[in-house]
Amino acid sequence: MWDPKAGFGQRMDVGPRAQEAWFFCLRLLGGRYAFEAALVTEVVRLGPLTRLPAAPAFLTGVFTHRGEVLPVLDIAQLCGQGSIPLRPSTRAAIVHCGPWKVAVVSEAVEGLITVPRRALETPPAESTGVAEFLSGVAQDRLGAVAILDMPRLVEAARARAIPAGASA
Amino acid sequence: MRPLADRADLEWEGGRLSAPRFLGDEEDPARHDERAPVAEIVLFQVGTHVFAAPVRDVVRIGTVRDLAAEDLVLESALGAPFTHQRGIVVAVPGAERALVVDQVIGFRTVLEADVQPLPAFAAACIHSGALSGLVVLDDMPMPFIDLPTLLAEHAARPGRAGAAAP
Repeated sequence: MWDPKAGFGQRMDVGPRAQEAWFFCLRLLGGRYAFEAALVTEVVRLGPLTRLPAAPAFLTGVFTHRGEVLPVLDIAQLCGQGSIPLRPSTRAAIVHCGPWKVAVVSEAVEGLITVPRRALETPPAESTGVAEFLSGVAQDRLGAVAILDMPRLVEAARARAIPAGASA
Repeated sequence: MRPLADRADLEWEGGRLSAPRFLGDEEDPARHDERAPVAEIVLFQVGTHVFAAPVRDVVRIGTVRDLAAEDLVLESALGAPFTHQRGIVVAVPGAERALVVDQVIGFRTVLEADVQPLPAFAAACIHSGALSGLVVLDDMPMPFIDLPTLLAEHAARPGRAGAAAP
């Protein structure tokens, strides 16, 4: 059961035998995208971004949060579908995926959602854009939600980083 | 960012940097623990972005009109300057090159602890050795540039004369 006092990173009953799966939902690319809730440690308002030279487009910059410098990942850029507009009100979810800690920027943060496991369906068989990183699709009371395989997405971003000067 | 106490701080005296002083230093002489290792950095602007680099990598700083045209690097991985005001002269193997910048903002002495490595994900995504880390000044991270590597990578870009074949 989700305990709001314990924060986003708490271990929840999300095992395969649990009746419901917990996800963290963001609005991206005009749609609802969710991923495993336990990967999110907090949601922050983006501070002023410092852009990094020779960085791939999806790595939009870094910012400091409580004295720690965090990289910002733009999923829209990674998928070649434009970019998330950055405004003072823009928020990001801080995500831990294995050795990587990134701030995933979003158009809006919806927060935690639950989806009955029996409602999870396999994603469409597309291999372009963000569809490449989907592990499932589902419906909840607010409508359709696409489930992202966030660790695979972050690892793919790292692997796709273009060496500096290759595009110059 | 603290303003420079004197424009003369930007100049070199007899090939050595005059001691950088900043407004406010007089009121807070013990800003740093004297035992803590420090690094001297130069802050400069290219386009809209501000960068930092170790002063030890800088041979001299001059106005562009006083530098040899063939030594100027007008555009690099840092971007292109709006105006061609200043050149930061750096020694590269067998020569000197001048990175053209919009302005040299000043010099600062920072604790070495303020110079941080890139976050792991950023380090894994950026394959240029010119970005050696970040300097956190006033809670803002600033790219810390290895100037000799920046200019060496620029010289080695495909299509440039003398560039090594991949």
